Amino acid sequence: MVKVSIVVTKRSRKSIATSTPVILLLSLLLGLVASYTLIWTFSKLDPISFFSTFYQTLISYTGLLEPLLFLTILGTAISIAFYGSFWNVGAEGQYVFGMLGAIYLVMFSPVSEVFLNGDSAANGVAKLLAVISGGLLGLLWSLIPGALKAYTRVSEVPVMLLMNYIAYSISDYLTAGPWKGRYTYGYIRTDMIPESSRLTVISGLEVLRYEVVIATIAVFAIAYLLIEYTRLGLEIKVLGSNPVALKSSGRNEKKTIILVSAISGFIAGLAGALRLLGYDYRLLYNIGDGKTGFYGYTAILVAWLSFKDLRFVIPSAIIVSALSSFGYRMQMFLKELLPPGVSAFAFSQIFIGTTLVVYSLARITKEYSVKLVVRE
Amino acid sequence: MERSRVVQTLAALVVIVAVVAGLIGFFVGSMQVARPAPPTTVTVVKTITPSTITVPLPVSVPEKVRAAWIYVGPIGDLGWSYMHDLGRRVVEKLFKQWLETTYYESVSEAELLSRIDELVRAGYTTIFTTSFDFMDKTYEASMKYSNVLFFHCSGYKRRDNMGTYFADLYQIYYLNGLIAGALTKTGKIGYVAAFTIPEVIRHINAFAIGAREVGEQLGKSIEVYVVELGAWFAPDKAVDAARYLVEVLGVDVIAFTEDSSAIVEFAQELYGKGKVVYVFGHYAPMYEYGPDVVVSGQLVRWEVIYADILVKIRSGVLNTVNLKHVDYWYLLNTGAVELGAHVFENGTVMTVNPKYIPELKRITVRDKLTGERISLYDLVMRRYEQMRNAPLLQSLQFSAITHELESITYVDIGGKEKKYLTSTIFDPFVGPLEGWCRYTGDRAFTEYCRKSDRVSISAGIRLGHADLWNMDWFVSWVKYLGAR
Repeated sequence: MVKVSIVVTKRSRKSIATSTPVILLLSLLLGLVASYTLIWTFSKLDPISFFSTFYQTLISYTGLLEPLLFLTILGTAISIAFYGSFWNVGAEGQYVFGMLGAIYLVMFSPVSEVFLNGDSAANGVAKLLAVISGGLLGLLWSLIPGALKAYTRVSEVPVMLLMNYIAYSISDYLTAGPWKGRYTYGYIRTDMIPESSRLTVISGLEVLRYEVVIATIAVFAIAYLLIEYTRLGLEIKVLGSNPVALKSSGRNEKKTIILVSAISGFIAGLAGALRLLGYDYRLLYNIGDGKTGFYGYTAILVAWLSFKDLRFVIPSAIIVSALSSFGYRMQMFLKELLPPGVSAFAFSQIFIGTTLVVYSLARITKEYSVKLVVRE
Repeated sequence: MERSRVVQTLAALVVIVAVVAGLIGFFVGSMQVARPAPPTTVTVVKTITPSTITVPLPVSVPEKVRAAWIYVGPIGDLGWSYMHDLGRRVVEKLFKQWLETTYYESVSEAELLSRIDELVRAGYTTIFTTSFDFMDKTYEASMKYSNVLFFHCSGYKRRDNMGTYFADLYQIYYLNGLIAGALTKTGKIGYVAAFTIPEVIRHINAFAIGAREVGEQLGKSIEVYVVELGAWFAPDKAVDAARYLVEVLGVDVIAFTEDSSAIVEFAQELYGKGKVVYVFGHYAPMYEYGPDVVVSGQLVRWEVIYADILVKIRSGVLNTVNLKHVDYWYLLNTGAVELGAHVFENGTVMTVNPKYIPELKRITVRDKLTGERISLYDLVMRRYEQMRNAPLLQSLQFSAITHELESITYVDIGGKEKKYLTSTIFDPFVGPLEGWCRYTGDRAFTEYCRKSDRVSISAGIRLGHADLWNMDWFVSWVKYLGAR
């Protein structure tokens, strides 16, 4: 009798072939091949169109850079939390709070005067304050689950998921109530923030804002230095891998949890503030219906795909934003090939999903070898 | 261990550097790649004594037209985006000799500029953006790409290369209202609104005016209850609102503005449980989702406008320098909107559900224009014909310059004819009308509501285009229940 079994063993030796970048690229390729096979069975799309479109997507910047920057900031926020085993699935809520902080400062606080009649230097300072206040609100929102985890050992995951909805509701309450705009043509939304408070569009690259680019680089660099070269970074890593060791070495475990939740929330809040000042310019009602772009959730994927390693946040963000942009481009081909009325958009979502599933499954070959063993 | 870490770090750096280098390379490359060619212009020199004026005129008439549509929702929404795409599919096949089309669906306002960039790079020279929310970003794009024609649906910002268009349903809502007023037993009618923007307020009022015109004659005191959703597409919220209207307020007829068939399906479900709530399909054919409860509805034919725009582009009438006053405002007379909730296989429309025709024929009412007593069904059909039959009106509905003339019913041309009928002989928005302001003071859009919180239109006064477009007040028998 023939016995076939799948043997999964943890790898003991590491080599170039199993290094993260190689596994990352091979997994992605495998995911694309799998989703191409799926598309081919439905539409007989030729492989050249499919793979050249993906290549085009990668080398084209429009539609790619903007999500890339936001996913990098949010992915960094979440990755830091993951180092400390603080499973920040609440970045979406912190991001919304970042928006609230920024719009409050720009339109409803005493600082708002500056944007109406201030000089450009004062505007610059006020903009910085708005971004920071967004960060601080994100921090406060993240401190709640952080403190609950530190002091009452309540798991942060369900708390944060629910708090995301609370954040949406608070934003909707403000948008439909005290912050409802005057010049909205009857729509429920806030007014637009003044022109002088908006971030600077990079001419020639209109999808980007100078401040967002600078903030992304700064956030990533500071986060990397923090994790790799500071005592706090070490403590966070130990908190994640061996909290008992942290305790027995005389460190305050609670303090570390609080700090990691604060840092993570602050960065997520910054992203929300930058989004509002640079792109959205106002709050929309029913913000939970996709008005946030669900960046806070997508960034969990980015952090997770980066192997709990900050260095791979950027490559993962590139892959995730490329896939979504790729989905749009593929619609152009698919809608010719699919029967009329069948949504090419829905179809593109299916292949993005397939690519991601195969991609993330294939990645386990970094840690484990998978062998098919046939025995008599 | 330490070694492999170094290797990993190096490898990661290589990946990052490669990606960054690739991007930089691409930017540099893209800067050198030729930009889309500027429009062919010929300098026409007109010699007028004593000075010479140079007028650049774009004279190229395109041999081919490449048009792209950008939708805010999925084309499977069975409402707004679905019907726009249906319009695209019609013109694509009809004009296949010279028209090439494409589209993007489920595009958010934030992504709009990126999508437009991609379309322009891909060589599309006519772009339709079909959401009010796209107005500012489309305007921005039209400044950036002055050699591309933009058409924005439902907005009011125009430029040389950006026009606007809209097909409005208010006359259809009035016709639906006549039926609603006849069928309701409680006199309580519900309306689930996406937003209370002028467009939707206009529809609610027209519906309420129709309902009261008939309801009062039949001895019912008509009230229309409005719930606002705060979203265009929100099936769950819409059903919640409908349930509240039916169960708490005792409403037995519902019309709505929401881009799904959820309320129709809800009413059909109630019918199965022995409770009858009549509904009117919105935007797309929804009869099949509630054959026992859909009495009629509103339908749209965007292809009527798309065909007109594209023919005019192809023949050189519309181009990148003359769209500033192009503002389609098409009503029942153009065929861009239609009464009904179902399209038969042969392409004809079922205006009223046959199941309800006998009942509507039994009810008799007085035509307030002539004083005659006729069946309700005949009244609906008579009004339908009256609003369809206005051959001159369509030209006026093409341009912002002539919109105010649409509400002039007759012009005096002298001679033995004297009065010439230029508009529809009937319009629902003719005084006397009493109303209250939804928005007041500096939040108001009309002069009426800037000055006061009540509106009173004297007998015989017909509202003009600006009054309709900016409508910010409800007729007095509309009760606004707030956002849910």
